[in-house]
Amino acid sequence: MSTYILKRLAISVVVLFALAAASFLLIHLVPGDPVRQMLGSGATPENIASVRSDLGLDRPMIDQFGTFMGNTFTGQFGDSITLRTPIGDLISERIGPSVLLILYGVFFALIIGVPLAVAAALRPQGFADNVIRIATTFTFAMPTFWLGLVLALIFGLQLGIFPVSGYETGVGGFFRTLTLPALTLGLSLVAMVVRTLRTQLLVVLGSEHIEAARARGLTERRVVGVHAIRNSIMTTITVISVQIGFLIGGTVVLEYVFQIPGMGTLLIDAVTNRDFPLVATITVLAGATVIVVSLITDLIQLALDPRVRLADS
Amino acid sequence: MTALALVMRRPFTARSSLHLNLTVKIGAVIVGLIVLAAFLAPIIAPYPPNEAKFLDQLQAPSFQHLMGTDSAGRDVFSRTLYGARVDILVMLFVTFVPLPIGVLAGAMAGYFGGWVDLVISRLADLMIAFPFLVLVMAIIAIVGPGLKGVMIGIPLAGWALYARMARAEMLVVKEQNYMVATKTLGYSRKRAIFRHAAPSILRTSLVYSTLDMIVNLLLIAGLSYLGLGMQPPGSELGTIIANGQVHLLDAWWISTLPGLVLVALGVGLGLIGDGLSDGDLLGKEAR
Amino acid sequence: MRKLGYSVSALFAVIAAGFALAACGGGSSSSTGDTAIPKEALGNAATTIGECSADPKSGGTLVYSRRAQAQDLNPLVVSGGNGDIFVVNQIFDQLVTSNPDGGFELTPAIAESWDISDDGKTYTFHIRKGIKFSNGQPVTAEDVKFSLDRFADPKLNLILAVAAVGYEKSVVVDPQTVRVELSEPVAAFLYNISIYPASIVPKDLVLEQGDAFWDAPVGTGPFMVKKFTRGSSLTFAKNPHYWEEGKPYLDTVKFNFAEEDNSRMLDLKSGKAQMVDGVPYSQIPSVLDDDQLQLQVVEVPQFLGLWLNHQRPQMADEKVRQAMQYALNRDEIDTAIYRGVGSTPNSVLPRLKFDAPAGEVEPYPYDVEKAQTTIAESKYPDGFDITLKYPAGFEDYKQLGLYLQQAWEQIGITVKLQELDQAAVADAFYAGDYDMTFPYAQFTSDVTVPDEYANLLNDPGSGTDGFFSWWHDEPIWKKVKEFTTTIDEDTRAEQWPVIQQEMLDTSPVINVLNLPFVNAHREGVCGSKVDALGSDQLQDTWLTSAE
Repeated sequence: MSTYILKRLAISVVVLFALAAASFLLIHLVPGDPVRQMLGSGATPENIASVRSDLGLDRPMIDQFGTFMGNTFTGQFGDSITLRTPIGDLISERIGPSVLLILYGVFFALIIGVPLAVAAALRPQGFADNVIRIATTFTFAMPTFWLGLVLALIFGLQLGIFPVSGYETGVGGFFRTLTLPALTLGLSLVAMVVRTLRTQLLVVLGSEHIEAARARGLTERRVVGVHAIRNSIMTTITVISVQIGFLIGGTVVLEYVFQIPGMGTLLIDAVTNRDFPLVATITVLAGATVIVVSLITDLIQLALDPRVRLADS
Repeated sequence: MTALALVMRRPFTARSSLHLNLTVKIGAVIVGLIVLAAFLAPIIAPYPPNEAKFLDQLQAPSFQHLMGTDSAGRDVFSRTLYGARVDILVMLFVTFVPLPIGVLAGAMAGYFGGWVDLVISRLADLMIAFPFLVLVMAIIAIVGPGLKGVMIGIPLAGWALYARMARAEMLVVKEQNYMVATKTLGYSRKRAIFRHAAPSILRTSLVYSTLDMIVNLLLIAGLSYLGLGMQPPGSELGTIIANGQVHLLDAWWISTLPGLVLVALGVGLGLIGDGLSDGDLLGKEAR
Repeated sequence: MRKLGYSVSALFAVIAAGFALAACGGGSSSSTGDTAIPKEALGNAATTIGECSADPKSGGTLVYSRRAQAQDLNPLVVSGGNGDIFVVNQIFDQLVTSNPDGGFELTPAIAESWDISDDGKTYTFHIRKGIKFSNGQPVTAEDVKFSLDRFADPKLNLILAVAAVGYEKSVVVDPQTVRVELSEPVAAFLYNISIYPASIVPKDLVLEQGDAFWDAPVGTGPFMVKKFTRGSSLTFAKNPHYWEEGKPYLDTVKFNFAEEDNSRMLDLKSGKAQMVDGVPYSQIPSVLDDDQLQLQVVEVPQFLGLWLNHQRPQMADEKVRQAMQYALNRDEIDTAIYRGVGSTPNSVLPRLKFDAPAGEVEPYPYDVEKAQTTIAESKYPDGFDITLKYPAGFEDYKQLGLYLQQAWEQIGITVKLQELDQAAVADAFYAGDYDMTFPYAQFTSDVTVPDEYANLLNDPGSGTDGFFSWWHDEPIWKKVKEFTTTIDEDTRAEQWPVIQQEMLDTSPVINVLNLPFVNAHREGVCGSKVDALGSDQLQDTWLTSAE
């Protein structure tokens, strides 16, 4: 077991390394000179050359690559070209809102999704099941940039319950400013939660374990509410964690629509400015998050489902 | 998608042939109607899709313009029909090109294990972990702007999920009694895979592909929103929605009505997917 | 010509320069032709009607949702384009400044007065008595010299070192007087030092604090930075030592960065913000319809500059370019896409000081027949295929692209549209990898005089190759050189219309339309002026709700 975990960890590091290398190389294929973007057309060629050399952008690509990899794996990250600020500082400023948005979004997905899934699973193919299915697919198939604006229009402008956009810190600020974007994110995720949990519930409800509980004379409510959900929720969380890439992508758009100073807007600005070190660092961090979450998920599965262990060893 | 795969892992046998329940039928009708309308676009569309008449701009829906007109005075209904055509084709391409590749790669990884598994699985991890936006931008930098970037970028990342799913499926199938039985019966390994594992894996993948198609539709739309999709003046649903979005406050119909078509297509596909995955579970319940 | 802060879906930023024809008091902007919107609705400056005609009240907080975010508060860096420039302008002053009430003329700021030697090579500035930085320390001649030397140092002034052309040195005459010596007469010198890179900063603090100074800079402007949350907002507090008696009126100003057009308009409509900039053209009618909102249209030298690459033989053909001019129905473009706020240009550059009126230099009329006969005289009577690159995410450019495609189809030119992200468009522009392009999402002059753009477009050297058009016309270039070194304003006023006419005739590039800045504010906001450079004059802004 521990060798398996060690092996898995080692492999993750290799993937992370490949990811960093791929980010660096791909980003340098994208046209656009960061210095030119920064200085505009009023800059003389001498200006541009001197800034390039100050930033070390005139060094051979292989050197720059070495520096980037070194920086990334020592956690130094270097400086942003456009903002002339350590990338580490920028990220620590911006990561909070994004993480909160994702967690709050998942929370919405669960509190909306779990009851719906239970209702659907109690009577498969029943009326409620079909309505829930259609409704959740509906929110799932809606572009988030559009859904977000519609929610801002309704709750922000018409009802005036929440501000239409912006970000405030503190507990009150958190609920005021992140509720609408998190709800949007949650709604796009609800379909996934309902589908997985419902299917899983049907499997569990049909299992011997539940038959036994029923046989012991427990009420159907108790069977579903306690035993079935307990057995199914882990799978659902696993499914959500696999969606971490989707969630990160979703926050980029939502931060933009709701003007939240998070990692997504930072990435958009960095791409716009062709701030290569910043783009590469965010790319690596986003990738690393996916890898780490997937590692944890695998380990949980390993603990829960011995068949995976069997098959892997 | 591992968990989804776990959920849907019952083998697909001749006994439980496609259980065409009501859900699938409704889904098929919705998707069928949209596909039909899209492919009859040259006959149905009342106006040429790219004909700009600036004097007729931003007209609300009426009998002349069922979905109104956009900011260049183009008929949104006609553009939606032609746009749906592009979307359906691109969606099919970006979903069904990576599907067999991913399934094959994943099945191989699962069956052979060892270094084959190591290479394929880590490559899949890498593709899943890599931020998609950066990937597509880099591809567009190489091949030039337009849908080409999307059509290369999505499959490049898309195969990985199928591979993961097929691998997990294969691992489970491999351990099941009837696979062990095929060995004792003296069947060859290839035959074993072909006869038993493949249909089950394919089924899971196809069910998932209905979800994947929706995700891809949204991705195409999202990339258009970022100016990384179809080049003007062509029409594509995502482009129409994204362009109309700036008019959400003054001309709601431009993005809302084509948006509803997109959502309807998504719901239709979702219903088909649900129906396909459910048929089996219902069969089990009915046991 | 600062590049703009740009972002994915929407437009932003505002660059600088312009002339606000209407002064505070609600004069109407005049130059637009027949438009869809009644002219009286399009005034710069706050209404004087109702509550705003009362005496200004002090106090209160103004929330201003802005398209371009600020990135860097150092006026010599301003990597965020206009987002930075308009913030820097709240914090700092220059020796002289554009008239806060609008118009092309300059007014005293940190310098109370100045003398110019007869040869135009020596400027003596007298510093305003009692003027202090926001930390209370007096502005000295040393500070001015230090700031101007920085402005002229190409290693420090990365973005607009060209503005310091001719600067030789500054000499401290006494604590209140600075003498600036030029190596050659520069007609636009005062204009060049009236903009952000020539901001006056406290020497001792900048030297002492180094880069850290720019995190919380100290200047003489009406406001100082209270809190800067990158990517989200910037809060200003009133500068208690501001030199204009009784100003600024507002205690606090909060800039909310909202690049997304709809988000910004929702901020305004919901009352979260009292002011917004960059009102999307399509939403102009809805702002006009809303009793709670006031539209503010400010004439600035912003234009739809369509750049043509003269390395392409088709674009180098004068007849082709003229035919393209004749084929444009600018009234229709203005009405259909810009809701009538634009105006037909009679120059290839944006509207600038010394421009002759339309009666003297005639704009190209819309004349399809003339366009067809003109192209028939070119080397391409049967037309050709060509690509137009423009920045993605801008609704007006999408429409404009379609419009131009239709217009030029009439003369056999088939335009292929290519939408690229802003950085890619700019990169292709600088590399000459384009046929036709709108290189900047918002294209404006940094100064109100034509010197900057005339020089750039005509100068084949300086590494910018005729402003990346690769166009060159030696006789016009000679005239431009003479114009930019002539000190006498009356002579310049005679020289420029000749150059204007000749450039328009040959049309090395095409000005499709002159465009204003379109801002809006809620009722109860008074004195929301914008100067000739498009910069908000928030020292004059006040709220009727203030206690």
